[in-house]
Amino acid sequence: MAYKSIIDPARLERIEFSNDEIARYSRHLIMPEVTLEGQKRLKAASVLCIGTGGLGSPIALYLAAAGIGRMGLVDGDTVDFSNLQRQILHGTKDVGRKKLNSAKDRIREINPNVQVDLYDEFFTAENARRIAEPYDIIIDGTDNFPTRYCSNDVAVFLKKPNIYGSIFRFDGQCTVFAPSLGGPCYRCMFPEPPPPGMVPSCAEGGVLGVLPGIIGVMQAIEAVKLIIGIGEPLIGRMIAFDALKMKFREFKLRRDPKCPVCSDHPTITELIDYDQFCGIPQAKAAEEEEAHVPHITVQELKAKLDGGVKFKLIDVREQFEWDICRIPGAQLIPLGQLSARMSELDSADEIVLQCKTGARSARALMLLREAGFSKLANVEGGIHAWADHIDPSVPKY
Amino acid sequence: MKILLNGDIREIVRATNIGELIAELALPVAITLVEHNGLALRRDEWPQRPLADGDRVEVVRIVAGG
Repeated sequence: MAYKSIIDPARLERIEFSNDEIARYSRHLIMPEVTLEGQKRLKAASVLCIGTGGLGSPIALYLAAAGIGRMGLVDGDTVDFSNLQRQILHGTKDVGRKKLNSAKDRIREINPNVQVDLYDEFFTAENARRIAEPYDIIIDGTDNFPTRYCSNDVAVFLKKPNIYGSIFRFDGQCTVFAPSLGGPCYRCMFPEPPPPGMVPSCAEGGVLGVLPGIIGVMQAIEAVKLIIGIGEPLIGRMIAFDALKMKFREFKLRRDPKCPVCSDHPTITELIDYDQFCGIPQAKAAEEEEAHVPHITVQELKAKLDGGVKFKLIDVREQFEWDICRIPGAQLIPLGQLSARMSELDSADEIVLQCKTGARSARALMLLREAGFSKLANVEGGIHAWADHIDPSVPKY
Repeated sequence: MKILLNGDIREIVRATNIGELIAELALPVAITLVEHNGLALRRDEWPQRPLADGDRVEVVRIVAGG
C-alpha cells in the first residue's frame, strides 16, 4: 500500500538546512526513499511523546537524532533509581530531577536543532486537547490504561495518528492507530478497560530493561515512515514481540463499525474521566479498605522483636523477593500459598504479616481473618518502610 | 482436534468455537485478541466462529507497561 506523507507540502517551503545539518543527515539524504525532500518533512514535522520512560526514551532519542523538527514531551514524574535499568534518556546523575529536564538535556546533546516543548504534567482529559493540538503525530509511551484511553480518544478526535507501544516482562506490542487513515483505534479492540489489577504494571511484574528499546524504536520507525511517506505503515496490524523466543508475530486488527469513538456514529465525542472509566477510584477505595486492617509500624515491630514478645512474623512475598532481603525472624509463606498452608499457623498465636509495601500482607490479613484468625496485624509500609526507618542496609527493590 | 495455536500444534479437548477455545485456554477475555485463519475477530464474534481441525489461531494478551 503506497501512501502519502502526512505532512502538507506547503509546510516544506520555508524549511532550510545549514551545511552542518546536511552533513548530519547525509546517510538519510543519499537514500532515494528519503532525499532532501524527506528530511525536510522530518524537520517540518512535530511529534508528541506521551511519557519519557522506557518507551519514551528510545522514541525521543532516535527521533531527535533523525532530525524531527519539533518534539513535545509530556511527563510529570521525577527520575528514580528504578528507572535507570531501561529509561536511557535519564542518567545516574539525574536521579531526583524532573524527567523532562534530563530528557531535554539529553536531546539537546544529541541534536540541538530539535525544538523541545516540555509539559510537566500528566496527560489527562483536562489538558490532553490543549497539549496534543499542535502536533502531527501522537506517540503513546505511557504505562497505564487511563492515559492510554485518553491518548487514543484525543488522537481520534483530532484526527491524528496514535503510535502505540506497550511492554511487560518479556513481551512487547506495537501498532499505529489511525482511523483518519482507514485503520482501527484502541477502542475498536478494547471498548472497555480491563478491571483494575487484571493487567499488572511493570512496577508489579517487572520488565526486561532492554525490551522497550525494541518496541520504542519500532514506534519511532513508524513515526518516520508516516512523516516521510514511505513503506507500509503498521495500520490495522499489531506486532507482538516475544523476547524469550526472539519471535515477532503479526496480528491483524479490524475497525469496529460500532466503535464508541471512531465509528460513523460514535457514542463518545468528548474526552471523559479516564480514571473513573478505568475503575481507579473504586480500586483506591478497595485499597483503603485494605489500609484499614489492624496495622503496626516498623518501629513497633522492631520493639516487639527486641522485647522478646512471642508472636509470628509472616512474610507473604515470593521466594525471589525473600532472596533479595528479609526481616530477621520472619518466616516466608508467599500469599499464593497461604490458603493451602494455613495449617502451619496457630490461631492462638499473634500473627504479624509483612510484604514489600503492605498491600499484599493486607490481603493476607483479610484472608486469615476470614479463616477465623483474630490476633492479626499488618506491617505498615512493609520491608521498604523497614529499610527506610529501621535498617538502611536492607536494599529496596 | 489439533489446531495451530500461535504457530505451535495444540491438542484441543472440548472447544468447538473460538469463545470456548479462549475459555479452555483460560485466557482473560477482556485483554485477549484473537485472529482466526487470518481474520481478526471482535469479541462478539468469538462464539459464532466454529473451530475445525487444522485451524490457525493466533492469540495475544494485551500488555500496558511503558
